[in-house]
Amino acid sequence: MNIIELKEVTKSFSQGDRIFTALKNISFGIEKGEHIAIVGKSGSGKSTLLNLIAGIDHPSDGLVKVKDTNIHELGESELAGWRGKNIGIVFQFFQLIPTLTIIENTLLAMEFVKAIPKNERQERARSLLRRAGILDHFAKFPAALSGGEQQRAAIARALANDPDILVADEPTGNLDSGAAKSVKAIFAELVAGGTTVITVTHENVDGGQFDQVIRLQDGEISQ
Amino acid sequence: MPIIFKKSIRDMTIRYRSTLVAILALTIGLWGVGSLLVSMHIMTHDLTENYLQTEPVHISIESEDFNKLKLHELLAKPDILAAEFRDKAVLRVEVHQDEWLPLWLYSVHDFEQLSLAKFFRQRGSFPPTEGTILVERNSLLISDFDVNSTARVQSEGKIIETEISGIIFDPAQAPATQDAFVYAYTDKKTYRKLTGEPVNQRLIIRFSNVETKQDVKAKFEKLSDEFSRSAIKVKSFHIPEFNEHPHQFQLNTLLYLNGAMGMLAFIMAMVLVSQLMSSILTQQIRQIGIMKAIGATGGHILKSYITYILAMSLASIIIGLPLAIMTGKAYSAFVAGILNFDILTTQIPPAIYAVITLLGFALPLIFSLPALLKGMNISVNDALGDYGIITNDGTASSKATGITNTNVLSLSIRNVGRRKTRMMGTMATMALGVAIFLTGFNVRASLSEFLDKTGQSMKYDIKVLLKQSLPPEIAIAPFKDIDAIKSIEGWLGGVGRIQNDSLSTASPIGLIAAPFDSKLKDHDMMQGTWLTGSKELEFVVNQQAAMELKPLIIGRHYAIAPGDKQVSAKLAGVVREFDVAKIYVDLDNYNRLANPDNNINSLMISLNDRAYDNVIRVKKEVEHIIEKSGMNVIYVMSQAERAVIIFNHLNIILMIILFLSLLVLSVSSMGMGSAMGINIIERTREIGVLRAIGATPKMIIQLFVLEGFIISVPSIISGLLLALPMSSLAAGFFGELILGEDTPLDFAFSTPGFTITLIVTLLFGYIASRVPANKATEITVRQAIAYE
Repeated sequence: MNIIELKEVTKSFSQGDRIFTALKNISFGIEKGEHIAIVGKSGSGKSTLLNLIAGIDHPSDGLVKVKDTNIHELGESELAGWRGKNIGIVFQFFQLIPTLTIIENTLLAMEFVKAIPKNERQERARSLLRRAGILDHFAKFPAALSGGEQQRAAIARALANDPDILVADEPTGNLDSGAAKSVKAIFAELVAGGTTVITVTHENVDGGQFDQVIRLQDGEISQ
Repeated sequence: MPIIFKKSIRDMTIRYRSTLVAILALTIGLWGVGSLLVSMHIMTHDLTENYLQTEPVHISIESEDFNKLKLHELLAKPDILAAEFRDKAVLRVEVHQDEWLPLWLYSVHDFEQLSLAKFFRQRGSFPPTEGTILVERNSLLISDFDVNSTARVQSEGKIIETEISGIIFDPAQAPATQDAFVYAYTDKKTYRKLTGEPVNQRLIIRFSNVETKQDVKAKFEKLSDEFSRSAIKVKSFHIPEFNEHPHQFQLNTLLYLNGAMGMLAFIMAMVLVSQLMSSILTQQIRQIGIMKAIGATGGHILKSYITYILAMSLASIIIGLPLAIMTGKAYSAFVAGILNFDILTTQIPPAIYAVITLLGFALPLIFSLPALLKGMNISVNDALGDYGIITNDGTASSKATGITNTNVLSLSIRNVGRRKTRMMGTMATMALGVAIFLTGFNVRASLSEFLDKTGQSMKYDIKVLLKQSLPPEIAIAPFKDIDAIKSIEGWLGGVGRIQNDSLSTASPIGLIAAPFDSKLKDHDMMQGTWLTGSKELEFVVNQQAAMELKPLIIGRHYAIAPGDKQVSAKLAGVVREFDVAKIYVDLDNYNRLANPDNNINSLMISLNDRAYDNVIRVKKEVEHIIEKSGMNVIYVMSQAERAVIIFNHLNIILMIILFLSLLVLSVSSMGMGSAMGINIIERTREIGVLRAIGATPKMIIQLFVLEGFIISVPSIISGLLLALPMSSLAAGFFGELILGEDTPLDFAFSTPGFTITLIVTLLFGYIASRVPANKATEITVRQAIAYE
């Protein structure tokens, strides 16, 4: 049973006088616990596709169903809450809140969603940071950490509310090879634990690592 | 503490400069509006309370026939709340060596049982010991008087040395410092001895069940009929403004000024806060996107930024509220000193604290609401897509401005158009600040011009008012040998009456009979013409008289009573002057009707040298002659001193206008500086990109200074233009407030004010953009590009 289902999804943007179609008639399904790669060159529509899956954007046409919810039908506030509970997002440039410490970034996500009881949040946050290998840095601000450490903090934040799905937009695009390797290892661990992980990358992917590779070219799935 | 609130507090501390500027502006605004509320409460309440505590007189009546009046029967009437005899004589007293001022001496029936027109012991004896007088405390500020000192009183041409046995406080009197009168109180025996006049000739009354001056007039009409039936002939009467201190107008002006300026400063501070919030939200747009991406709702976002605003509000309230209370009290005490009343309010009501606190919290939120709602409602996609380098707006602005070059000036012009709403807000605030600042100068110029005109309208230098009218040759003779005197003209002053349709009883009013073509007075005519010297009797009123007796119609005939006769006279015009109600008639016509001996009682002296020092010297010489000759004189007044008296009335208002104008300009300039600073912070990454592609720090500074110039110059021009109608309206408003209805001040343009405004605002505008621009070049390119 698909945890994520896209049916004839199209996404267009208006740019001044013209309309630009980023995604054309995309349809696919993702099963629970799969590790998916969305690949393509710049401008192929992969970030747009990820945004649709994460509920950050709405399709111009078609249906986006995640965990049996037509997420494009939800209002902004409802969607925010739903997203916080069900989807963890990892950005290419980490996007940690600069004025909060690493542990506070993680706690913030729990505070928004309220899925984790108050008295468990601290321990959970520490546990996530430990798992990401950066517990020692829990009281530091993001600017004090290396790129790899920041990305691992972002992953901890993304996992704060124990989501079933993790989406990552070029998570290693800004990291050195060592840091990238550790991030990939975390993802593999998550997949092994039953989390559905969707990664957008422009890198050449080795098919063995992923259960499904969705190649996009000019807004369409290419084989 | 919830993490979202921690974020807000930390955001504040990281942006401490902008936050401090906003808190400072908020504090100034709150301080301004708060001290206004406090001083308004104290002054309005206390001046009125001081005045009402005296059980003020509703009417004073003079008659030589009060020996026929049975006072106890009068007091038994239901209409009469209180009544007693309180005679008044105008003498002269030496306040400093060779300096004499009019002395209003009152005879009091029973000091221990004052039923109305009460006054209160301050120091010394109360009641006065026999043969002594009590002096009103405000006189001490313009004299050498004190308890047990001796006052030299001139009466009937003789000098009588009189001991001052006590000091009293009479809140119902106009301040001696402002009106240059001394008020003294004594028993009937001493009064008779000092004045040589009979007592029980002046009755003061408080009526029951009256609420307006009209009610008093109606009750007096009834009483007057009764007096007529008892053969008591009323010589004159005076009805003061009902329950209003004589200088209420000054207080009202101050309160209006305070109110207007305080609110303006506060509103400008709100605009600054809203600009700050708008900038923060713009700068943190991507953070908002991230928070929404990880589960934050619009409500969470709103809470975070409301915390920011409330924290700034709290800081400004903590500083501003005590400042406002302190300043309000201090200002009230200052005004109380000038207007001679006691501060009675010891506790500021909790409601004032509550209002100031509420304003401090609520208004910044309200003004920031548009920015907050924008941040709350922005979609995740739009928020995450904002990298601080606006491309669409750049295209739009180049279309809007028609500029496509990329030289620094062109870039500046294009950049200014990128944040249109903020730019308009900044320009509007700056323009308003400039307009108000210049308006302050212009209103001050209008007042100064009016004072000059008033001073110059009187071409004589010294006026001697005799107690009795004398033939001109006798009146003038003692002064003929003073070399410094150019000429002496004789006028006649007294009391006249006008019958108009709205009154069945004629109101007494000051009357001046002077040669119609006298060169000693300029005429600032508001309506009609000055006296023409026609054989037909004409009269002119001043605007205070016109206000009290309206409606008066130019060209219409009215019954006037110069002296005891009643004649018909045509109203020729209304003249504007800063004086009590007066009517003017031609001296020849007056002599023909009511003064066959052609006597005069006013000597209008012109000097060859009109310099202030010379005038004062000659005035002293005149005083010497009066003392030696035993002439019976009411007062000797120089125009220079009269101008000082008028100036004292208005000076405080002039100073307050300037100070508050500067306050408003400061806040609006802070707004401009803050907007520029915010502008630069938001574009830090863009600045980094510009430097990365070759822009030097000098070019960056030029870019922002030019942007500041492009914003400030049109703002200043708009402000200067806006100041014209604003100044005209303000001059009109304050003129009517100070001088009376239908007596607006003429608009005057202050060239020094214009110059100062231009220089100050250009300078502020330059500093507002140069300082942040300098700071923008201090961070490295790498830091600038990575800036979030």
